[in-house]
Amino acid sequence: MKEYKTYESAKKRLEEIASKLEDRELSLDKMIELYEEGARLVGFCYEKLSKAELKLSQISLDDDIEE
Amino acid sequence: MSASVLTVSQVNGYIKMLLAGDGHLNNVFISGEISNFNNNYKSGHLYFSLKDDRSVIRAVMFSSSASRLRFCPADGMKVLVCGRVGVYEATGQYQVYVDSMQPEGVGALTVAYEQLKNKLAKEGLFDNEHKKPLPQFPKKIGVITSPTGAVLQDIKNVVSRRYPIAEIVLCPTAVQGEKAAAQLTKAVKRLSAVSDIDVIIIGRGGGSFEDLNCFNDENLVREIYKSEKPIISAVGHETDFTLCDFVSDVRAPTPSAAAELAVPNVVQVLGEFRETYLYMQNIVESRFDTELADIERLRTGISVKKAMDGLESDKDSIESIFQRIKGQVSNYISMEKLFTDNLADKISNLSPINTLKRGYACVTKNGSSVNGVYGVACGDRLNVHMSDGVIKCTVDEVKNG
Repeated sequence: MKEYKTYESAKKRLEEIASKLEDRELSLDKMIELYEEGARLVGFCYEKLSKAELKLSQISLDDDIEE
Repeated sequence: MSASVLTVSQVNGYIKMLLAGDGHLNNVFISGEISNFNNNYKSGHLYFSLKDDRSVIRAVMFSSSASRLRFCPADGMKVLVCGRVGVYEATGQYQVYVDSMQPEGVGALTVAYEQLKNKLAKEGLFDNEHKKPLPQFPKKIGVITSPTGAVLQDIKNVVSRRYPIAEIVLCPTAVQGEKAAAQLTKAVKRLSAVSDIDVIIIGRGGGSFEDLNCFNDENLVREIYKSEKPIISAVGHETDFTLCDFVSDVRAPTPSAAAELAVPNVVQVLGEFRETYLYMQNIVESRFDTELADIERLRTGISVKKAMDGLESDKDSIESIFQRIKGQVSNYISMEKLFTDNLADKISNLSPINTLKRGYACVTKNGSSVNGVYGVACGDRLNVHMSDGVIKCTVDEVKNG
């Protein structure tokens, strides 16, 4: 199972999974697989959100010289 | 010789048309002194005259415009008005229809501001149809302000409390003085070009009209208008309006409010994840129910027919599904714990009680909170709220800085 690097990609995948689960034609195995992935993603996003610390970066106007 | 005979209404109507067709009279700035001021309480319209040392002109300001006044006009006051000159047909009197009015003495800057505001408004730069919606879950928030001011600190505080997964990208500029307008303009252009910035806050603290004037710069206003990113403006105090406020997609009364508009609340976001999880859980559980019912039916059917082969494998799949459900249930329980623990943590982080427990205090005067030494004088009675009670104090001395 692939790992998610960022909160955003995990969140996007979770949304995908939630809508895929609505498909009534889905095989039971596939459904469980998606559900398990979804549950892990929720955990991942929770973790990320709870432990996040604000990052601050800077873009200086002087950088224009390089352009 | 026969001259055509006109009615009074025709003459007045004709003169009205003449004035209305005059380009100069349609948008005039007039400076003068107010006399015969009359505020019609019923309609809210203001009627007065404007005079200088030689002439008088009648003036009317309708309630829709009068409601935007930020001072109370009165007889003898010198003012600068902007509006059009037209005719009131019923009396044949020509008068100024005032759109906006400023007390005079604020000088050339105000005139320039009003003129530019009118010009840009006519071009449609402030129209609502150009306003962009704010993103719900921004990843990067561009901030244009002084690197040293309280604005950046306020925004950082709010974002790290509400939605710390976001990132602030600061583009430091001067926020007053000669170079400020050009730097602000450049900063808007620069941050707008960064592809993963979702929203931009441009701001500074309160100041005089002159201090804030760089936010009335035409190039800056046009750059904000051109930007493809939604921009929140938080310039000056709630009562100060700059052209930057008008052209931005959203105007916030303070920098902290701008940050609150820019990011969601983490508690709410966590709640949404929980909803999604429960939703998935629900779908899977109801599917299990259906499948189990199917198998149960099948098994009953088979055992009635006493067909031995196939029974074992069906039993296997029932077993394995039971196992899986059991797995899901324990998974579910641990998820519930995750949800509740995290929410409780987050909520207690947002509450001031924990901060008070660390020895900090909230200070209030006459029931409202005191945010600094400003507004506190010797002899004032203050309440110092600690986590376990209130200390009532009298001020001996106030020191700045």
